[in-house]
Amino acid sequence: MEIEELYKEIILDHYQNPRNYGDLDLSSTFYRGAYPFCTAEGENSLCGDSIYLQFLIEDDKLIDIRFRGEGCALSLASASMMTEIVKGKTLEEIERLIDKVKSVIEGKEESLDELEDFQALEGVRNFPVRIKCVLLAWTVLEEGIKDYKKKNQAGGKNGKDSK
Amino acid sequence: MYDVYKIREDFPILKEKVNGKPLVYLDNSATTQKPTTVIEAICQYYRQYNANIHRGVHYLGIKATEAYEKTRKDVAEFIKAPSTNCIIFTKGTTESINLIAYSWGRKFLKKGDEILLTLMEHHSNIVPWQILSKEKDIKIKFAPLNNDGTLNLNAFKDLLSEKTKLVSITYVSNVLGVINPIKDITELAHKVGALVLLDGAQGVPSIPINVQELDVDFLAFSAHKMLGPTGVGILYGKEELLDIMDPFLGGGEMIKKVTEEYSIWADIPYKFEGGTQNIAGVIGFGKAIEYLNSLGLESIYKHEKSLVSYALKRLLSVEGITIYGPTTDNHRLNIISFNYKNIHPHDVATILDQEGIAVRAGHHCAQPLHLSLGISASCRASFYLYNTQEEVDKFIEALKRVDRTFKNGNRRTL
Repeated sequence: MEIEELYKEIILDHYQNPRNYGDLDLSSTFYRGAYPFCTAEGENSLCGDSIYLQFLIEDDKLIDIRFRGEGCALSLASASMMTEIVKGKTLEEIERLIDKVKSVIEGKEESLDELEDFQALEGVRNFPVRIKCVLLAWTVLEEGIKDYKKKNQAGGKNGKDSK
Repeated sequence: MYDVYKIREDFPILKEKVNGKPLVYLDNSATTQKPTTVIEAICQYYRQYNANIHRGVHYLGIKATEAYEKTRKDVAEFIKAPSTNCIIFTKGTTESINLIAYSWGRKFLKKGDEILLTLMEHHSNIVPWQILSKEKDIKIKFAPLNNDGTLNLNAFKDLLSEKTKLVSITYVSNVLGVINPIKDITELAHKVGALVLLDGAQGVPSIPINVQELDVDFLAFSAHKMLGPTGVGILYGKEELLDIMDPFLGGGEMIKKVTEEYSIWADIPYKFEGGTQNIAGVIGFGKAIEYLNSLGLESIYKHEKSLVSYALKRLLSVEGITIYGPTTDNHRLNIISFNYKNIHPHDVATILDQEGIAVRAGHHCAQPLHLSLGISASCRASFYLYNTQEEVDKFIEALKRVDRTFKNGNRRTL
């Protein structure tokens, strides 16, 4: 396999110009106290890559997300693509997608055609040591959603009141 | 005459291809390749005289014991130890250091005592002390480095005091390639009554060593970083210290007598070798030492120094390279850590791998050092006795491929 099949244009583009990078603007009236503000972070202890996510949930829908992180082209491009994919989707749908991404990247399922840009990262299947890089952002989001659900159940109601 | 091409003939793996390209192995600080004599000695033991040691009165047991004990003698001579009693076999440098923390630290350290490390230590020379410090309420201090990555000796002196009971320091940094002035350090440490544990994992494979001249109290190193098999480590200790330490692993082989109520420990070195040892590995290591001796460590050291000099010169001419550690071959050994443009070390290493070039990417088990350098990871190329200038050239050429893959594009500064 040629190295360019791993480092495709679209991946380099997301790496060099990451989407949804930075922090959520919580000072705007739109967001102020309106929704539960969630954060999640994770590290790949093998290589020190790290991803930090901030996201907002309203009525079981992830309405906005930002990420920050340090890492290789694969982990950051994957995070950037993920933020575009999950924005506006329901938690249920996102959880399904996370499972799907994991199983495709780990080679258990064939194709990610529903995920457009992200398909470019399928090439990582031929580089097993780099799979963790691609999955980092997804596992961080998975943990973040789990966390949100736990707190939300404990706090009783979903959405605005649980803050 | 040091004929590197003839030497390469002795290492079967160097004929392998990786991704269709000849292997260029530049990850020697992680582990070195093995010459045929080592590989064959291990096979021969299993084929012809596999038996447990120190027990059997039968032919095979005697033969295996002799071969195992011969390596102990070879190791003692290799590091110029006064006696084979000072040589303990472990499973690696990590276990050797843990053994000291457990058997010496636990017995002799008390609340308020201090252990002095440096900022360039490998995790295996940090974590055992952190575990111990929690248990015994002792303090760990880290001596800082100068801007060029060398140890700041003045700061080191300032941190030394009557409270310091142990200085545990690496011979050569596994990231910066810096060689520490061990003789000065043992003198300073002994003046305040502290012992010195030398982590020789990097250093012993390349620098002729005399433990009595350096006057270190303990020395830990690994066979696999000097042509030997994995799973064999060495702990050297001064006899009088090993004698008063408690055992590390209780079990067979390390006792004189066991009753229902008590046990009497065996004499050193056996007191520290509980359980069946890595017999094949130790025997293989004997052949590794034989090989190193046949080339002569002086010649190996010279070869590596000229390679590093050449590699530094070539690397420094590549635009966008940052080298960590000294940029001349003074006080430095066979290891060069670097970053290339803003490209993450993992991406660099993956692309080099496609060209058949093996380098390491990550924090190299030295996170505190990377933190102090303000980076989370680096690439590391490390050379050994079989590497050539042509391999350095291939490595430099391949860096251009990395740049091309990234379309000469840096990541936007975020």
